[in-house]
Amino acid sequence: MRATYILRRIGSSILLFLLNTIIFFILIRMVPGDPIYAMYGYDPAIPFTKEDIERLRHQYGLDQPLPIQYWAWLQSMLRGDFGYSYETKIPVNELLRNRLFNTLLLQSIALFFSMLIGIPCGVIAAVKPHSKTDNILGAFSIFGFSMPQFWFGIILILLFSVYLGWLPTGGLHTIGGETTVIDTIRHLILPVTTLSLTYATAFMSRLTRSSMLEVLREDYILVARAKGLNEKVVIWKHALRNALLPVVTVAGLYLAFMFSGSAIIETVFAYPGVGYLMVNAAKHRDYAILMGVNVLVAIVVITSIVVTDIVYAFIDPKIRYT
Amino acid sequence: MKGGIKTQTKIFRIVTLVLIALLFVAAYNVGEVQAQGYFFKLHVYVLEGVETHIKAMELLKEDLAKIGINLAIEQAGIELIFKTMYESKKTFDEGGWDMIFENQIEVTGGDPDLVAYSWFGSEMWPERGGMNVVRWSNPIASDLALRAGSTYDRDARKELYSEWLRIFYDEMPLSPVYGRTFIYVGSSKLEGFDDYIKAAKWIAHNGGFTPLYCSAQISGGTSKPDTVIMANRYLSPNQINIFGRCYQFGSSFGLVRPNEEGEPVPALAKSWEISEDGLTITFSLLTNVKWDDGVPFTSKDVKYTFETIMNPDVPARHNKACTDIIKSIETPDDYTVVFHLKKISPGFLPLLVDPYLCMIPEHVLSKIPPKDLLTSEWNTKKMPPGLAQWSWSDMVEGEYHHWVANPYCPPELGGPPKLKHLYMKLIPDRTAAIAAVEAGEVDLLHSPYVPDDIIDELKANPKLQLDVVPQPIVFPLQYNNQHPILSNKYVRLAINSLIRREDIVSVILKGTAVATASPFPKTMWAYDKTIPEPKEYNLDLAKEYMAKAGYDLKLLEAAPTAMPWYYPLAAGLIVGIIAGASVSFIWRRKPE
Repeated sequence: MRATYILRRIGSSILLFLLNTIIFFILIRMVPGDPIYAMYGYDPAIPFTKEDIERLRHQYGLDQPLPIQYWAWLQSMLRGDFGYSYETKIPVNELLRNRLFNTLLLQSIALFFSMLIGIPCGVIAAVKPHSKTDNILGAFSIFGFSMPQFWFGIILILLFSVYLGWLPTGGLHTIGGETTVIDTIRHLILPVTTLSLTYATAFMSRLTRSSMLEVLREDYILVARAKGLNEKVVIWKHALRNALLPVVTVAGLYLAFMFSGSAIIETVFAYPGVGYLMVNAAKHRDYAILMGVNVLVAIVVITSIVVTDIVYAFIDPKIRYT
Repeated sequence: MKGGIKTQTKIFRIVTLVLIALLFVAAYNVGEVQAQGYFFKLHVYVLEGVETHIKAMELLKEDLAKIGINLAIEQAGIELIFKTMYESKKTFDEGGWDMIFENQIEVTGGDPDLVAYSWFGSEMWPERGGMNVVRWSNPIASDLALRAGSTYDRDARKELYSEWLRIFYDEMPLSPVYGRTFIYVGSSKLEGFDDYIKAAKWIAHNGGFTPLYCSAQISGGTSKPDTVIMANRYLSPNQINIFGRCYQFGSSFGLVRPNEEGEPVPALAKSWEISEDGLTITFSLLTNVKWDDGVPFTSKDVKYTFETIMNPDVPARHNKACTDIIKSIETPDDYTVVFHLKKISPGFLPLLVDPYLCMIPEHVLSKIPPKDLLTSEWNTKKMPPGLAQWSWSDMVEGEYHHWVANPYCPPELGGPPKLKHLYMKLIPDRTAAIAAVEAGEVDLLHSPYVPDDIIDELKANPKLQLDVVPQPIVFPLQYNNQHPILSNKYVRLAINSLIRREDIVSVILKGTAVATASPFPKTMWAYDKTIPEPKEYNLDLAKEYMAKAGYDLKLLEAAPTAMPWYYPLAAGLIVGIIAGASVSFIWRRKPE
């Protein structure tokens, strides 16, 4: 019974994945514009004729009917080959491999720090709801939610790089310098700060607060207090561990969500990650890269949902296998 | 009597309602006629987000309203604009275009043939494989351009182009608005910025970006004394494929390069000879040039480069330009190359200054099938050997490219540079890039990276130094000459007289451009100063042109001005009530 459920879940997610690629494949081709114009149209220095465009379209196979183009893409994708970037001619696999590591590095550190700051803040706010501390933390959260990442990033650059000269303005390596751990950390400080302080920390803190408030009303907390347990033990051991469940579940999915946020951060900080790659590819209609990034994100999101479902199937008896 | 009053009230109500309805309908129709207040509507495409161009078109919109033309500004992405521009549809409503304020005329190599023939020749419509996107057709002008393009005699050509320019001014198939400049920004600590600007002025004509290739000697960067770091927003594939990358960043050369006037002067070819019939050009090559891997540069490389570019399997931009001109290439010895041409082509030498016709090494690349060149590791992971001042060294994808000084560079090509390292760093965001210069992480930036609208702030910043270099680029307002209304030259001339070029340049572009109505850049030898340019704002003249085009402005002036929608409604209500009351009053009097 359980096996059938799991198999069905996996089967449907494969269908969902294929559907996603078909829709995305059609969508990006519906956007006005053509990779050929994007590839060459920017440079008015060179006479460029309709004939040239037709010739190049043929060379890149863009004059084929859509189903044939999709079939060709699907075949090579199943072989693990996403083709070449229309722009730089670099294999998409290689681009994604290099950039994915950078983005995951940035995102996971940012997520770690936002949890490190956000969760204790949420707990402190929940222990004394509607107190001064809660209100101040709430105000900070709203400030974090509403601050545009783009603006905050620039302000940090101006303050810490231009005026104080403590940290580099962007990139991941010091040009002409050696690649050391300390150098990488220096380059990561500003983007991580921007990414975690603008949204993630506030989100984690609010989520922990509401989850904690619910848990603190439970009977077993009352029992724990009645037993005469130290309040610290009640809060941090009994309440928080239960309150963290939804926070951790959401944090996993939040990583996928942060991919989209990274586009802005990576542009401001000239950070060589997937986000900027995606923005640039969309601007230049680089279909090969766009499809590659889409597959990557789809796999991350669908897998995390399926894994959560399957894990729930094991641990939660309320799930029915229908 | 009671029943009579009831009837009267009913009639009063009905009459009032009918009258109000009638008046409202009438008022609505009148309102539409009044609201129109123009003869026709035109749409102009502007690249989305380019504030300066949007403001310029808003200015024009106000002025065009004075002569009965309703201008709608359509913002769109570059891909859509370019795609639409090549469509043969005649109007915006059909899915084509009326006017475009985005494309620019750039004259690589400084030859007027590229402008007069390639851009405006009747045979050069996009449908016929050319780039006359405005689809202007004037047999006399076309003939003049063809004749000027079939002789090497400079004086004869100049006369023919002056004649051509007169016809152009008389018809204005498009309205040049301003000549562009590039803004170069350097860190204030950078020594040798002036030399760099001198070089920038010199190479403005080849469409290249990095003046460092032509021996601009900067004395040390901000972060390290032997290194210079430049920033770029985006390394376009044209710059970073093997046909463009080398040259743009100073690691390869063409047979010729431009001088300060943009005309071809010796580079890899030390001299050339044109046969009497004008169909053969023989180049003598420099004998002391080596690729940076130590292999000598010979005529084989030249032949290989051109044959590769002309190969239909290679997506090189100059494929058509070269196949149109070159019949065959011979290499009688290692340092002589003979080009046999299909026709007399004065535009051929100027074409050779283009960065995309730089030399590529035969001894390395000929082993790769031409169609696989761009996807080979020589294009995606590293660069083939170069032969100018800088040798490509390495890159971190998405971060930077790195060049090192080329010890083999001969003195004729500038000699080895003083500095050891050159980096091109990718910084997508403009504000972040300027901050990087201020912080001393980057030494140099240049347009189109630096926005025109913040030039005053940049000038006032003590951490920066900057200079403005005119470019052989003309920014025009393009008209679709096949448009049923715009095909009338008087309409085009009327619009042209209402472009406030001086205001656009001084107020909107903050003085970073030059007002012009000439399709030839002012630095070009074919630009004839003696012919007056129709570039002044002149409303009376515009009205005259409209009259000649058959639009009587008096009709427009006689029409009442448009009024708010509630005026006719209020008038309808008042008149309706008075009329209804009068009718019911007369009705009541009757029985007595």
